[in-house]
Amino acid sequence: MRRFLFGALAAALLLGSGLALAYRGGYPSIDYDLIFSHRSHLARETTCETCHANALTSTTSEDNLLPKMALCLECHNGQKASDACELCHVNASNLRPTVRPPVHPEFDHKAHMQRGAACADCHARVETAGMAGPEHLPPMEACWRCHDGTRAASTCDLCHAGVKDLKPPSHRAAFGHTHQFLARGSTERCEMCHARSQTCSECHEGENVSPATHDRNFLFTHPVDVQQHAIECTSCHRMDSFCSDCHLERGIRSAEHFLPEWVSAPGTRNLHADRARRDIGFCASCHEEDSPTCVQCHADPDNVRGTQAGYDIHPPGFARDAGEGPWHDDAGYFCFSCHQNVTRQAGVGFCGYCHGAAD
Amino acid sequence: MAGSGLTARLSGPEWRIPMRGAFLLVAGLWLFAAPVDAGAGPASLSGHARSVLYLYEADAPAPLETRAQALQYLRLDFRPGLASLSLHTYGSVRGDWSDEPFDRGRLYFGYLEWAPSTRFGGGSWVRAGRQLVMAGVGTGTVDGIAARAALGPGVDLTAFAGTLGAGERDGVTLHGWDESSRFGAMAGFRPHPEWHLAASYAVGRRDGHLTDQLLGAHLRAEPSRLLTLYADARHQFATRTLIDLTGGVTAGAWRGWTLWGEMSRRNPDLPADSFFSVFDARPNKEARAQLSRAITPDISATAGYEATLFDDETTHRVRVGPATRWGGIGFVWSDGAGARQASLYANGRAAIGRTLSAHATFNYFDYDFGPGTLRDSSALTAAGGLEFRPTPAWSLAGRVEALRNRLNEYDVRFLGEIRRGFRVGGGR
Repeated sequence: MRRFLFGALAAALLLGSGLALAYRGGYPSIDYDLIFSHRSHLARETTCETCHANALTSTTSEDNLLPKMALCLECHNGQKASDACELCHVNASNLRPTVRPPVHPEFDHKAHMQRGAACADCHARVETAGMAGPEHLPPMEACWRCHDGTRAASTCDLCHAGVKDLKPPSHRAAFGHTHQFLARGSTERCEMCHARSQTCSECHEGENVSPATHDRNFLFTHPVDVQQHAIECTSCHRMDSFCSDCHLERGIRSAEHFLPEWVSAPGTRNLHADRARRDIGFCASCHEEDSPTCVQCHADPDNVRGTQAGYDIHPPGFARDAGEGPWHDDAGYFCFSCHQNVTRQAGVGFCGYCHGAAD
Repeated sequence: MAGSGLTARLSGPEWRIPMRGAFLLVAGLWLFAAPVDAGAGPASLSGHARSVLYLYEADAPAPLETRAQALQYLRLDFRPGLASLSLHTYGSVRGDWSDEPFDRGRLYFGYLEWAPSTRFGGGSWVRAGRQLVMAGVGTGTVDGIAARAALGPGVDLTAFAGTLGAGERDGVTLHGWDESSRFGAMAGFRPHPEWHLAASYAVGRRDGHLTDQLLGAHLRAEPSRLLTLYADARHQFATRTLIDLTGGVTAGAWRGWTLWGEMSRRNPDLPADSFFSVFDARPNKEARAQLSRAITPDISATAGYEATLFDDETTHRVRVGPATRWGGIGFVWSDGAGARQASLYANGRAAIGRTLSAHATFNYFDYDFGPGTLRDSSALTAAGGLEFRPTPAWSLAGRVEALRNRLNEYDVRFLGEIRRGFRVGGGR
């Protein structure tokens, strides 16, 4: 069942990735039947305006800024440059017109260029491209860098007039959970629609007194969620301080602490050990760093390595991988909560664990 | 009054702020003094304020008593209209109005920003002060300096350095560099307008000891209106632990269907200088899937499943229910580690005229922590409220909440809230 579950989800992820790669961009593609190289034309001292002169006066996205064939023929006349049909047309024996898809959002080239914008400011990397495609149109973040409400207006309908549903597809499923991953690498995209002060701070920086995140009875049912999704709690709450605000101040202990199997002899079922292996942060949220309860049993009283079988709390290979650590210079480091015999002599006590007599 | 002030400390004398007085001063100022949209000019001051009063009566712990908690939030953004400078602050004070010290204050952020308006495609800035830095594994609040530079088409770098920002319990304390420090950087790369890759690195130290040394990789792609992909990995060098590996995909918008799936492998993340960091901890593996169908623009239905796997134990969770723009109902069932739980929820909201709206919620939980612990139990909650919004800048809201469970036979609460946004000066 487990393998099937993870296999199915892994297949879905791979399928999704494959499908995603098959698409070329958020802007609609133009189905060209042409061959063209921006790179080679720009290398021949042709400028953007040579072919896209309309852009200087265009005030709407509806304008067709693609050059007419007659303009190509001014150079491709058989003398200055080749006039062979196959040079530009993929299928010269079956020519068809280029159909432009509906254009969105609204854009005024003239107004932007009058304010000092250069073509490459928005159409990055087009100078090294062959045919231009959706990947050479600017992402919305590029707009927002000026349209931030201060330098230029940031109202939605300035560019998206008449569009009813501007919510991106990513917001339509489990967005309360997934937005953390979408925002982790960059928040620019989020801030285009959600001013940080109005949205993020409601949950992430304020005292969230509205029941937007948890149900009102969550106070009484949270033990269920904590046990099942403890790591998820740490997405928002610092467990080392948040839990203890109530649990320590009011003396509330988790119900499982009262079970007979919670602490029992080594070699038998120890629920607290299972819990610690599953999420040690759960323990750390209440148990003090300075005098942890764990030390009552998980101590090293005889300072002899290997005599505490069943009480060793370190992962396999811990000593081998420990390397140089703060315990060499700091006599107050937490290691000495358990390993109390610190002689600073090779072969003796805790130091002897790694530094044998020959050292 | 002893204990009724906030303490600010930076390797020197302590400064105490009379918080109850500050609360009244701030509340009075914004309520009666600040004009809304008071004309245009190069400089501007904008922000919003929110005053909350939370009254509750509870019979546990006995005896029955009434408590009054007050919270005051204030957000200010000041642009002097010169040199691309701006100042941003957001903070709150809170306390129990009756007898406890009014001593909980938090400065969430307070920073000066310089964001030069270069050419199109800028996006560079420098910020100094307390701020929430969003930089991959370095995300968090620091008291220090952060900068972002757009290095070229699709390439940007964010770097920060400072002391750790105050936590939940010490809202305004400033730490010295030796006490706690954090620095890091994130490089972002956009090979395509809809693909964003980033790598981030952060180092944290506390009392001279290394607490965190994190490396992260982040991917977000929205290659079409049908698909969103994301992947995230975080490795903690300080404890040699891969603490998070997550990948997900949302595929949708085909005849209203949206499918989301995610897999993750997560380890507990503790500071390296914590006693608990040396324990043998193992990862959780988690899988989630959700199918939604938008039946009409206003009505949708969702079914979701989650599984958390740990060693030989699996926890299952199922959530189903329809939702509309006027509210929804749903059923949640989970079974696994520690407990079994079933719950029903319903919520609704409606506009009453142009300025008034009403909302109500209902939840019923039935849960069983397992043999040997607590007996089977249930919880029932209900809430209802009204919001009056005469203008976009003003709102007044009230809500009554009630709860009944094995601990409380009687728990009724009232939340009152006034919000106000304001803007003085600046262009339109």
